[in-house]
Amino acid sequence: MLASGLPDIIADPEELARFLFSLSHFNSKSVKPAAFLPSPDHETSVFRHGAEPREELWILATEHAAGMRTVKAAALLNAGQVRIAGLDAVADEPPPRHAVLRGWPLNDNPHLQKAQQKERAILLAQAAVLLER
Amino acid sequence: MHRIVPIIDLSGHLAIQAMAAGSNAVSAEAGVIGRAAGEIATSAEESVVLFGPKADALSALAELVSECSERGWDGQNAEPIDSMAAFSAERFIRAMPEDLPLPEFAAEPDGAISLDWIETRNRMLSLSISRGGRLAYAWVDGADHGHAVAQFNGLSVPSRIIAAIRDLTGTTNVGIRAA
Repeated sequence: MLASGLPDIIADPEELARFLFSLSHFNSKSVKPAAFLPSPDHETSVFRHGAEPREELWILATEHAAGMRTVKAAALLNAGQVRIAGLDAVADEPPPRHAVLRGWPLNDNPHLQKAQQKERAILLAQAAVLLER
Repeated sequence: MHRIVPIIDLSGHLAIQAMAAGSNAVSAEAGVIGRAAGEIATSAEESVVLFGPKADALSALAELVSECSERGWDGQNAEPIDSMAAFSAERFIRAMPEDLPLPEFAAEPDGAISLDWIETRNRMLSLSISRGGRLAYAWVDGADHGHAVAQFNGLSVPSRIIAAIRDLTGTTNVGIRAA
């Protein structure tokens, strides 16, 4: 059990929120693939929280994810959908409820690696539900 | 030191201006940037004759570059949008056939720019433009999905990508094929 009270292992049905700080990462219809691409350390930061309670979701974003930035929206999906896309969701506290998406493809050819990662990201975007703040 | 600064000009078009601070930059990198600056300046001048949807798209691109010009724009440690990626994206938009739908733009954590054609959540094409002419792209069409890499010479959009956009947007029956 983690300090947050959550289990070490993220089960497939568990909901995850990817906080979005750029308006370019979503439109009225959907989350865009770029919202899920990994940071330079090859991980994508998420939080273990679903759409409800809504107020707690935004508090989590403000207190532990935003820093000086304003959270514009959240992309919601569950861990099972992450695994179907060929990635894994792994607990990564602190901060509380934090997790990362790992397993992004790596390749000696950086362009091919990027294309492979975009394919994973587009599958996450397909699965994700957009929640605007 | 030279730096390239994307701005929005008075008509709302993308203009990327090369700014020179100091006159003694003699490194190879400075030379490359200087040449790029010259090309960008020429491109900015050409933007005067662009009207309509492409001009709007370039304005949106400029706004994105401005929004994501500092490290950490994603709330984490994302790189600022690369000025040469912005330049390549502008060239790509200019090179697109007039009858193709224009993309939306998004910033990527490595400083690249994503060009996205989104019909629905289940039908998307996403293309990355970064420094250099290689284009990494991926698509999903229902249960079908894939990825590929193509070369952009700065003047004409690769035929495979044109076919992919047409297929996604329903303007042709040509299928998307991987590289």
